[in-house]
Amino acid sequence: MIIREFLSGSIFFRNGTQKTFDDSSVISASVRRQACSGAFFDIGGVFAAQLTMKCRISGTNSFRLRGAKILLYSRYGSKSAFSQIGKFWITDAGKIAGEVYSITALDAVGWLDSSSFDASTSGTVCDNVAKYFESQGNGYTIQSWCSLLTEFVNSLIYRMTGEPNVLQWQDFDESVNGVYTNHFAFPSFGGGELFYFLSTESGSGLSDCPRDLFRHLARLAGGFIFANESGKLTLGQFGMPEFGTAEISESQIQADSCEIADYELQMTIASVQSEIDRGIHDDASFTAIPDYVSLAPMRIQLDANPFLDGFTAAYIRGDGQQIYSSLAVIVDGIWYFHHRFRTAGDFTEEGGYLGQCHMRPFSVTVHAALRFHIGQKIRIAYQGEVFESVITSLVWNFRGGWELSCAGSDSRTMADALRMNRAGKSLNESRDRCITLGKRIFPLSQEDYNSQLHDRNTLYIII
Amino acid sequence: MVIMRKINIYREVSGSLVLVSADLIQIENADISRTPGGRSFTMADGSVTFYPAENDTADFTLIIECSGSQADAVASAVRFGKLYFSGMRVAGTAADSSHVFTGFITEQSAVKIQEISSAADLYNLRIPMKLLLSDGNYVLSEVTA
Repeated sequence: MIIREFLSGSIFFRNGTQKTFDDSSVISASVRRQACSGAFFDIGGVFAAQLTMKCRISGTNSFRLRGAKILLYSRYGSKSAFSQIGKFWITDAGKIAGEVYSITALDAVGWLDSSSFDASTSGTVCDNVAKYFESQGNGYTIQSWCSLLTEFVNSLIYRMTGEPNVLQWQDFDESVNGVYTNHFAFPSFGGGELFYFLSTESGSGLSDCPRDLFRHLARLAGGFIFANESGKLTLGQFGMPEFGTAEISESQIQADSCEIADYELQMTIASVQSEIDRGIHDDASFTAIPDYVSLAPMRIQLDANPFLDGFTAAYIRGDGQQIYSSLAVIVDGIWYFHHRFRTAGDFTEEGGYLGQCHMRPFSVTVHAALRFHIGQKIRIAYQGEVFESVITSLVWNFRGGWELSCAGSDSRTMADALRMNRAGKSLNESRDRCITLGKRIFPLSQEDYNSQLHDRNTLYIII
Repeated sequence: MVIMRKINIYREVSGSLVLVSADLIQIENADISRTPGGRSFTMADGSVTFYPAENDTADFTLIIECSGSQADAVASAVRFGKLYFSGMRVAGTAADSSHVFTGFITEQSAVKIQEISSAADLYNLRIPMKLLLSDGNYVLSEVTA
């Protein structure tokens, strides 16, 4: 099989000039995208795609290259139209020899990190993003929050670079993409989508990094935040219907590159916990009976989430206009679309949700004139069997194929079980210490303090 | 086979070709080792997938006879890493005198200058390089002296 691949790109320098290049100038190029961190499956990933490239560029230097924007396009075979690979900003550039440069660049998600800004010059707004939003107004849907956060980051970028509207948010459009994968993850009541309120009461929302808030929203939506190929920030889903299912045969798989787990991930516990006010804890959870033989149990836990805390304050504690009984409406959403239903008829909506996806960890290098996307379903025919899964990480290599994988560690193995226990133990110990400390703190008025009506062995907070 | 052809050597400055030295005499058509441009991979079913690149490359040593000043000009231009050659003959390629080859100097230290006759101001120059065989995009009308 012969795969003809062509590359085209433009570099936009800070001084307004532009250079174009094509595959004759490119020695190597690759783009890495991921929805999960490393080998572990989790929801709420916010990871920047990274472009690494060695390219011959005339009439420039590495100082001019740093900070420049790159638009990259690729085309297979006789297709006349180029497909955009992504929009990137060069974070590092070095001269290899002559006019050949080594370039590293990140896509729009890179702008969401606080390390992208200098807090001393970006002002006090950046010192605590959550508190800023809380003071500016509150109560939006998940997508509206994301849009608002994008505008906020744009204002920071403008303050630092003088460039307006660098980032764009793209809402998921059901009319274009069909049924939303996590249709059920958005809590609704009485036919309308519920609003999320941002709360910094519990301290979980204290952050100077917009990326943290995006992560909290992505977790509530059961997906991940990424910049799509056209460079717009958007909410990704595991099993995104708009990309369909990629079909891979053995003739497209590089020799010795394919590894497929003999287990799938099964969400056995989904729990949602909100902590606001001292002593008020709201939680809800769903559990399933683990199938230890063929499935690796997976646990999704939502807590320390300022939007969830705000939701609890508004809808459960009663700060808002309407009061619901519990957080079940949230955990329902997480459970319904993530849980792999084993009983026909539970939910039969076509094109559905992750419940109809198979999360089978794999890694494979594929050579095919196809475009792959993170969150896309994939069906791999290998050694006489057919495996289904979802792509959670990919690397596109110019004239070198696609490295695809699905994250998911086996929680039944000793190493992973111990790792999880250690993390959980550490978390519980910290939590217990805080609760113990909290019990030792008593509110005290300034008058009583002045009157010395207090025990010197007790901690007080003056109100 | 001994051949004698007159070749010109250029280098690129701001997108156009600038003459380094003209009317050098290529005295020998050395063997080349030609590498197909592209990469190949073996698939799980035993088949091979090949990504062709625009240009095949050839490891090639240009051997020329020239004056001392010409040898000096060419040897100095080698430091730019990339030179262009018109009128050059390369074994196994079309003998098109208008074709401009692009050559990358991979080992500058390997450029050798041998004196043939000081009285006749004649030198022998050997320049090992990696050639792009399909690169003929430059037209000589762009050349500036």
